[in-house]
Amino acid sequence: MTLSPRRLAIDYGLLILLAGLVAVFAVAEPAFLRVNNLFSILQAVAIVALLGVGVTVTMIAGGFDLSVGGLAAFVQMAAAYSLVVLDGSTGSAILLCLGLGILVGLGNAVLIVRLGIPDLLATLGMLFLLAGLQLVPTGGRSIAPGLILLDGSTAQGTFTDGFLALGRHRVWDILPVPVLVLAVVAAALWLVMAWTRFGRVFYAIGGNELAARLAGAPTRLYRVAAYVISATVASIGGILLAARIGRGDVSAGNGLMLDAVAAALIGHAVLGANRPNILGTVVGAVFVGVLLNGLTMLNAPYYLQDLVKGAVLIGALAVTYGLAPRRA
Amino acid sequence: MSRAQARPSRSISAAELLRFGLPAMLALVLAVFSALAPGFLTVANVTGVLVNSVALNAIVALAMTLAVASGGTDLSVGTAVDLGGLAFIAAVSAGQPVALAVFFGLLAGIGTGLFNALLIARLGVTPFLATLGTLFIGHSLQQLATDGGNPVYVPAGRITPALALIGHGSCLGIPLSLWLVLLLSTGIGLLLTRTRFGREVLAVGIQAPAALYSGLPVRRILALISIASGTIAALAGILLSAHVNAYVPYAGNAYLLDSIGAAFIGTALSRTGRANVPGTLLGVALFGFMTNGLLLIGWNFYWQQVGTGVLILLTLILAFAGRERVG
Amino acid sequence: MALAVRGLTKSFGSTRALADVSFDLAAGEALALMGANGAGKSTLVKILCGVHGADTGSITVGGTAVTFASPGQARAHGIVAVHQSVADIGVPTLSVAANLLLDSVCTGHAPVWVGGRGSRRAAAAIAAGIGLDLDLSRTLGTLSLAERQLVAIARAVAHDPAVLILDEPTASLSAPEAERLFTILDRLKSRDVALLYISHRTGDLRRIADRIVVLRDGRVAGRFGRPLDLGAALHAMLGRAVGQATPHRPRPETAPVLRLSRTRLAPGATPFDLIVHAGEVLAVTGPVGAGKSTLAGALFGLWPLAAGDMEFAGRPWRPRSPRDAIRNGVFLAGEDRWRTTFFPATVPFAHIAGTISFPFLDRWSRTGLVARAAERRAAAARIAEFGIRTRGPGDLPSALSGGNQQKVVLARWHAEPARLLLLDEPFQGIDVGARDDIVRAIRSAARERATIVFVNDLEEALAVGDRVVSMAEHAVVEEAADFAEPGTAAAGDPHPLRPAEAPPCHRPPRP
Repeated sequence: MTLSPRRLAIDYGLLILLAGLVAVFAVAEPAFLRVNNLFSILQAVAIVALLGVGVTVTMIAGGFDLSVGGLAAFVQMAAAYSLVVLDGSTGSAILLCLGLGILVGLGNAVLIVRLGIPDLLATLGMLFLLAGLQLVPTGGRSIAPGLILLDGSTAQGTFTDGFLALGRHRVWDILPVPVLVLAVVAAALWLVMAWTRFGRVFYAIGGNELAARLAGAPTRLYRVAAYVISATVASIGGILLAARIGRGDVSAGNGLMLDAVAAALIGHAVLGANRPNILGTVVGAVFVGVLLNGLTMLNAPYYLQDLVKGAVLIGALAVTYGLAPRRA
Repeated sequence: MSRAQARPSRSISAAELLRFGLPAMLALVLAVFSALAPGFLTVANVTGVLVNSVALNAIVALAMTLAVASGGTDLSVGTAVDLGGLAFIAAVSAGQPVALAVFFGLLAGIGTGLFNALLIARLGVTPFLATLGTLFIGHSLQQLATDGGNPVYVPAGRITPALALIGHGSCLGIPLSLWLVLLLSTGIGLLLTRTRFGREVLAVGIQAPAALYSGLPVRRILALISIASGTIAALAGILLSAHVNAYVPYAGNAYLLDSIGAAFIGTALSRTGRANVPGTLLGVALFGFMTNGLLLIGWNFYWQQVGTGVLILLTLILAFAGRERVG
Repeated sequence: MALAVRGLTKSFGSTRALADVSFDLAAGEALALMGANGAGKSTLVKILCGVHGADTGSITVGGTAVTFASPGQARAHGIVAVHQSVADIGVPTLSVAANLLLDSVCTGHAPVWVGGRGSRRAAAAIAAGIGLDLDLSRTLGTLSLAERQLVAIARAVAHDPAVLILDEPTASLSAPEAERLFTILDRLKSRDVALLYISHRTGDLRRIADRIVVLRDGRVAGRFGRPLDLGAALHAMLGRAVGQATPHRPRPETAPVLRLSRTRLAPGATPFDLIVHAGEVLAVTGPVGAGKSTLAGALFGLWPLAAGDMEFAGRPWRPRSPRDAIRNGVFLAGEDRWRTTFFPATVPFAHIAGTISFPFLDRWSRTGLVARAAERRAAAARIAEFGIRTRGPGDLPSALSGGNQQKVVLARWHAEPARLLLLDEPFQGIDVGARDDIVRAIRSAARERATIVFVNDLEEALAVGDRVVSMAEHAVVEEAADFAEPGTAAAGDPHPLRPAEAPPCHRPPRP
């Protein structure tokens, strides 16, 4: 097979572009390449990348999960509520968050797999429901220690040091915990999806569900699992988010969904996989992170961020839909 | 299995049930709240709901209805509302005549639609993802144009009678916005049910291959629908900003959820299962009165949001449960 | 005895698909099953592999009576089928190796870790089982139809079946590929696998079959042992001798309507010429994937030719879209009517009148409004003309029988005069009686136009055409002279991913 420029653009376009970006930023601003800065880029994208990984799992199984952003924000509020208002321990907060995530994943699965609602619509509905629910316990206010509750009393709890460490601690003073978590989760899911028979079945369902079912796969079970995995990963993202900002911020979830979906879609194009893949999603998230970090260093106004993200998303869509061979 | 195979007797009774589903639900909401909240079923309150919440929602939902009829979902209607309002207010503030400002506002909507059309019809991106990208870019454009998202107020000296007419005018005692709803819903309703183009839109939305084999210019139809949807949504943006004499960034986003909800509730709870104007209007009214009723009985804004989310999910369940999964 | 079938009967509604079908199949034997469209072959296969249940009758495998509730149970009893269907294409986004291992992976028999050396070896072993010589790391979707067919056969053989059912396995294979398949089948026979081989290509039968059972109208119409008398078998299948009922009609002395010169349907395909005259019905036959639909689509503006020129009514013909073609009087009734013609009941014009009028709305009303009265009148006239059995123009096509549905499709493209009418598989899923009606309808209106009918089935081609040509490897290869052996040199489809030919995603099952 010859490497036509078109082929090259599809296979390596994003990586070449990423290398080019790094080079440009490194020349323009030498501080860009410092190890510390590189890790802060990773820290900045870790949560979005996690959510993107979740979306990717559902995409692999031929579905879509738009509710990850709303779920992360919801979980972030739940963590703060559990710590500050209920004065809970680190462990109980984490368990609560993961439990909520699994519950939401099951809810999505019931709507999509059991009731047959189209995935985009069902998860969009779930997103709006969560966005409303997260505001209810505090009447729409953010949660910080000393919060005055709706009944007039003052919340007694605080963010525990252990919990905060999840978002802020740096292992060996260099590696932020969220980056570590991302690495572990992404590597585990990548192993499962790329190298085990379970992953093979997920991909088979996404490619031709009928063929997978006739080959004997319990396809409904796998689709349920995809949504539960996605929601669980998203709730891990929500825990890290709460730990990083150290309070329950009602507006923390803004834009998370779009960023995550964008990362997953950009990931399609990485290395010419032309299909959802975990590694690609992480690269996609890092790509956007590098771009934003570099632009910030070059003193570009922050409100260019969405423009850049939108342009990158549309570029990725153009590559996936436009350059790649048309698929049925 | 498929609906076509259901025995006639059963499908008719189910169809009859669905035909009355939406009016019945609206009646139920009205009955419950008039019992719970004394001020609910008064002329003042009902008019208030219609003018303040239903009218603009209805316009945006009509735009969404067109998109849904053609088989897509337009996530950028809110963006078109915002950009339409922004262009309009910017032109008014710069001292342009109001008519020209309206033109600029509509142009912004057309531009939004054109951008979607480009992605959908030229690149073949699915409408959902294409309009998602537009949503991003529109967000950033607003920040760029307003130094990071500051409201733009029309200077007191520039508030002309013409502007006040658009924002607060009425005819025969009925506000302009409601007239516009009437006009648009009649137009779009007739378009979808009576005209050739309406048939073509539904054909593309429901069975695109058959539309292509029947000789329809499928991509051109999708492009036209995108542009129409953007333009109509921008109209809502112009009315909104004229009403408050200001452009408020991202105000349009609030319309996105309600318009999706109304268009899909109207589609789901109809006898035919296709996007239709009366269904959309009933859906908008349902949301409007439910929110208002919840407010009157003392629920806070956040519970209203939850209620809306639950309502949408319930609608989706009603619409799709028991149906064979398509594609 | 590997398989014994006794008195199998199956009805769908009032239609009797199978009536008292009995046959035996011994281990190591190849039994050919012949039958025209609608003779009951596919029903029989579906019962044998557990998709349908039989109304009465018994199936015995290796001496034990069995009933199957699912394809999985049939497979557990050693009956494996290779259909020509979406499911058998496998998962187009996965590699060949992953597809070969799909069954074991999906049922949990594979090791947890895949993709490594162990799976490569397992996949290679399955491929070697039928001598499949392919790069196993390629994505299935990039393979030709023929190669995908071989992958599906390899998957089936990997189950170590006692009975292997093959449904027209050579339909998309070239001669060397088919010979490779026969070598594999010989090896399976020598391993005591029983083969049920569905085909009526005499070359295949001569090469592989030990005995033949012929089905016609759901009944066994003949049994033939060695030495095989293929002429008699074809006679039993068609109910008449080949070539007698449809004598060649003389080519009309009219001007050519369509002229293709040096046409290539795919890059690298053989260029061919083709002329179609006014008043003539040309039947184009050939195996699946030979390019019949590609040719039809190129004439109709769905996609361009790879090379060459078309001339229509004396002018160069380069339709940009179906819309363009229809405006110029070139109509195509696409294959799979539920995908290309009918709309589901969710549109307000799904009824017969709306279906017929849809392409011509702009001709019937200049204002942009729908002329409902005109549409009903036109539909009523067509219903009478084509003898469509229905209550009226307001009926939904889904309420009609397959034959009447197809008449609606035909009626639609007779609602306005055509200069060139293209019919792609117009006899799909209809019974023999309806087929004769449709042949008559096509032929009776053919005088004023040129007509091309694209059919897989040779017998249908003979029944409808004044002239029959056959296609293979994306080219018209011959004026079919040896009708019994069309297109022995067919190859795969180089455009397996053409969007307009996606598998249909939703349609009511045929009765």
